[in-house]
Formats: sequence, structure tokens, C-alpha cells
Amino acid sequence: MDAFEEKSLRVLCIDDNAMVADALRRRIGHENGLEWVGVVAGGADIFERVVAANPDIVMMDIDIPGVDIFTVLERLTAECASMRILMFSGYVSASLVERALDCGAWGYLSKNDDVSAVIEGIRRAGKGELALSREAIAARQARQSQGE
Amino acid sequence: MSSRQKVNILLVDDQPAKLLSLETILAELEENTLRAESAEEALKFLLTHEIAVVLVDVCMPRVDGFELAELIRDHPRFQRTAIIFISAVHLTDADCLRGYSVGAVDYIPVPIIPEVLRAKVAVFAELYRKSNELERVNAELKQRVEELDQSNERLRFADRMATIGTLAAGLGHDMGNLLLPVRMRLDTIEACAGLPAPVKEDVGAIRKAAEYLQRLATSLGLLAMDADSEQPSEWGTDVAGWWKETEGMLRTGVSRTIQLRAEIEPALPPIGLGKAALTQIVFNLIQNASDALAGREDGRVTLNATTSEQPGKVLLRVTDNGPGMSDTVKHRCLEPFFTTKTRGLSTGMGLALVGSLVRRAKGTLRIETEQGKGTTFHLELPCAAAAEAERREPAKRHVAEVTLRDPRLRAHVSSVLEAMDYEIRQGSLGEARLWVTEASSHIEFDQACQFAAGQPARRAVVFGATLDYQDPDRRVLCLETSIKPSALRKRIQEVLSSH
Repeated sequence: MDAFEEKSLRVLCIDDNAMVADALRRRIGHENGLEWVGVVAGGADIFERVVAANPDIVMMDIDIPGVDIFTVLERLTAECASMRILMFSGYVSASLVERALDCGAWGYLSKNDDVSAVIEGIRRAGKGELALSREAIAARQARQSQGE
Repeated sequence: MSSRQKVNILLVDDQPAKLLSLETILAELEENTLRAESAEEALKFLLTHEIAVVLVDVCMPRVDGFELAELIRDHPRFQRTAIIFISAVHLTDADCLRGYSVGAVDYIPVPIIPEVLRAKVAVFAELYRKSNELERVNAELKQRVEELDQSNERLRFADRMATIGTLAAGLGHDMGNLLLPVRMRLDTIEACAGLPAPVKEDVGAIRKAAEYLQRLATSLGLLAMDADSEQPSEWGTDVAGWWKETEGMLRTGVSRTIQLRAEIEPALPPIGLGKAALTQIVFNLIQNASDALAGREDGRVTLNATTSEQPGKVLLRVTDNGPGMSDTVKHRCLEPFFTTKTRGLSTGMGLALVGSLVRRAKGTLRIETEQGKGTTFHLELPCAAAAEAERREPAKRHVAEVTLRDPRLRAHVSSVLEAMDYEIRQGSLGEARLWVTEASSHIEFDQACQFAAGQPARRAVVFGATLDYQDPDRRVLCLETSIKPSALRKRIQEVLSSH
């Protein structure tokens, strides 16, 4: 059995939009089995601060000013194998989804989706499944069907 | 000799001997010479040929050289034709002056000095050639300027569209970013027990508004997306679901007095067109219909979607009860930059974009219009490839066994296989069509035997273990843990299609 399924999932959010992060904190606070760890809004020490918080799930915005988010994603994947990182963005395209997954993300959730779908995505990643929003699935599938 | 174009030189004299002598003198110039023995014959030549120089004898019976020159000069077509008089008599200054006044460019006395005549004619022939060349270059330049104007207009249009696109995409994104916390806050309020009924009602109303704005934000993105680069999913677009998402935005494209409605056949198969392309097609058609209905209180625009009589096709129709189109407008309305509206209101690109998106989706477009009654755009679009294949032959679910220790790789493999309609079942080696295992792990021999149960028919060697298995359709895929998720689908397909 996956160790993630036995305890509350500790969720951290990387987002420079305080309104999004704060609302996510409140929403996750109401969910059984999910625990809010905190928010990292950006900065040069983003990697160190995430590692120090040691979350199970990281909700990562793709567009943080001054931060190459894919480098952070790759580094976290390589150095913190137990952390499951989900991209969380309003921008969803096949290339962004593929790049995120290749860099180690466990999923790609859309900020345009229903909030319940976002929560479901976090739980799926916790269970060891890929968590992709409808938009991300469609974008990925479209690229695959074009490539064949 | 250069490849210069020869010009025509018309020689006019009532005496054939003099014509012959002129022709002989001018032969050296290597131009075309035409001979006319009277003014009437000369005029006939002038009407049927392009003439650079006319050499005309002043003394001729009936119509003399002066009268002929006047007749020639009266015609605007011959303004550039040089007239040279040749005369043995009438050589006074007054004669010469009369010659120049009726339009001559020179007055040459007889006896002629051949070199002088040749030199003069050569100058005027060259002048004519140069004028022609200048005219040709001018026409070309004019055409280039027109083309440049058109290109500039296209650029301005593209620039405007790019600006609008960027604006719409940015607006959609920012709206979505702000609506997310609103929706989350609503969730947390609703989760509170014992909310008074009026508060619940307020929350419900705010949620409805937020959901409307969310759909608007999404459809702004669809409207702004470059539909040409959109890659439609093999599962296509569900028209009813798409309408629900974009209806609000599409309504903003029509005046409030116009009744916009959709009639979508239940269980309509998805169409093989991306959401952005469908949005842009319908948006433009609806806007066009709305413009045609401007000022009308009883305007109606209907989007109708049904399965076509053609197998594998869906028929979309956008109908209005507007004034209809003339035959010219009907035939030209899909041309780029064609518009019947004021330039400021229309780019003339809306229907051209519709035509190009429909062609790209391998669909067809037909316009049915009757003046005074209205217009219907009939779009026949192919059903989505996968949906069509499924309708013809429902997919059989195969079983796959995935024994990977890396949880992320396992999740990716499972996701790809599920998308390929595989059922992932643990402990299914006896019946699995595909077994995905780790390249770095040792395969348990009993697992291999279980997979290979039955009479041996095929043999596979997996990391030193020899697998014989009966069913030629069964496959083993050994994955290295470093494989990129984006390469997984291809690897799995290669293994499944290998022989």
C-alpha cells in the first residue's frame, strides 16, 4: 500500500497570487485528509523553502516572476522523490503539459476547472495516480493524435 | 543586336517609287516599315497598328500631308506618334510653321540625306520605345503599390487581430485567476453548517454569476486562440457541451433585440473540429447574421446541429431571418476583405476565416439565401475520427498488467494504457495482452511462466529470461525508469504493433 494513502496529505502552494493561495488554504482546510502546509510566493530560495516545509503535494503555478519553474520542478523531483508536484495554472497547452510531466510533475490542474476537480486531482496524486484536468487531457491527446 | 522590341514606322506617299526609296534608307534601322499610298490607307494602318513614327509626304492628292497630320493629332490615341513631314516643295518658313502647328515633330526637305533621315527617325523610334517601357513600368509600379496597400491592410488587420487576441487571452486568464478564489470562497461558505436560507440564496446567486464569468473567461480564450494551430482531439468537440460553455460569450456578439437560440440533436456525435475553431466559426456566422438584422425587433438567429444524411458527418446550420444576400454577395462573401459593411465596422475577414476553418476541418460550406427571407449557412463537418470508429466498431477492452516499482512511472503507464482503453489489472498475467515491467528488475520466473501459459507459439527474451507464449497478440514491454512520459505512448504502440 502507498504510504500516501495512510495519512493526511500535506499540501503546499507555490503561487504569487495571494488571493488564489489564500482561498486554496481556506478550501483545503475544509477537506478531510488534506492539510495546508503553507504558501511560497516566489524568490530565489524557493527550492529551499519548499524542501524545508516538506509537503506531500506541491501545487505549483507555472508563471512565477523571476523563477524558472521547470528548473525548480526538475530539482524537486530529483532531490525529493516522495514529493508529488502538481502544476496549477490558468494556461493549459499540450507543450506545457508534456514539459511539466517530462520534468517530473504528477499532474497538471487547471485554474479554470471546478474546485472539486482540483481537490479530486490532489487526492488522485496522493493515491499515486496521474492528476490531469480535462483541458490537460484534451491538449495532450490532441498532440498525441497529431503525432501519430 | 539587343533584344529590343521593333517599332512600326508608317511611310505615306502617293508615289510608290518614293516609298521604296524611304524603305531602303530606313532598312538599316531594323524596324518594321509599313507603306501607305494615300491618307485613307495611312489612317487604316494607324487604327490597326501601334505606330511610332509617320513619315508623310506633304503633297498628296485629295487629303494632303497637313490634313492627314491634323486628323492624326485629333485622335487621343496618337498623341505620342511622331509625325515627320517630307517635302520637295512648300519649303518656306510659313510652310514649316504650318507643319509644326498641325503636330509635326520635324520637317525634312528633299533631296533627303539618308544619314540625317535615319538619325532623326531612330531618335523618335527610340523615344517611342522608351515611352512604352516607361508606361509598362508605370503600370507595374501602380500594381505593386496596390499590392503593397493590400499587404499593409492585411498587416494592419493581423496586427489588430493579434492585439485583440492578446487582450482577450490576457483578460480571460486574469478573469479565471480571480474567479478561482471567488469559487473557492463560495465553497467554504457553503460548507458551513446551518447557513440561513437568505445567505444560501445569495451564495447561490453569486456562484451562478461566477460560473457565467468563468465560462466567459474560457470562451474568451477560445476566441483568442490561433485556431489554425489548434490541434483538435481525436475525440472531437461535443457541440452541446461546447454551446453550454460559450453561449454567454456568443450572445455578446449579437444585439439584445435579436433572439439567439440553439437546437442541438440529443446524442449528436462529437465533431472533428477543435473548440477554438468551432467557437470562431459560429461567432463569425452569428455576428454576420446579427449585422444583417441590425435595427430589426423581430430578428432571429438559430444554430441547428443534427446528424447529416451523409454517414460520418454532422450538419451545422446558422440561420437568420435577415434581408438575404444578392447573388454577387453570396458568391463573393467568403473572399478575404470582401465586406458589405463600413470598413471601420468590418474587416471583411470574418466569413473568409469561416471558410478556411471549415476547409481545414475537411468540411463543406453551402450558402442558401433568399432576398427578403434570410440566409442559412450549411456546414457539413466530419464526426471526430475516434467517435466515428467507435460507432462502427465498439472498442474491445484489453487487459494489461503493470509491474513497475517507480510509482510515477506506474501512474504514467497506467494513464496512457487507460487512454488506449486498457484495463489495468494486478495479477492478470495469465490473460493480459500486455505486460509492462521494469527494465532494471529481474523478472520472476513464475510470473513469466504465468504470462506464457499454454502451448508455446512465440518466444521473447527478456533480460536473460526466455518467454514462450501462445497468443501472438501478447506483448511484453520492458521500460527503463528514465523514460520520459512524453515518449511512453509511442513506445507502447511500437510494442503492440511489433511482429
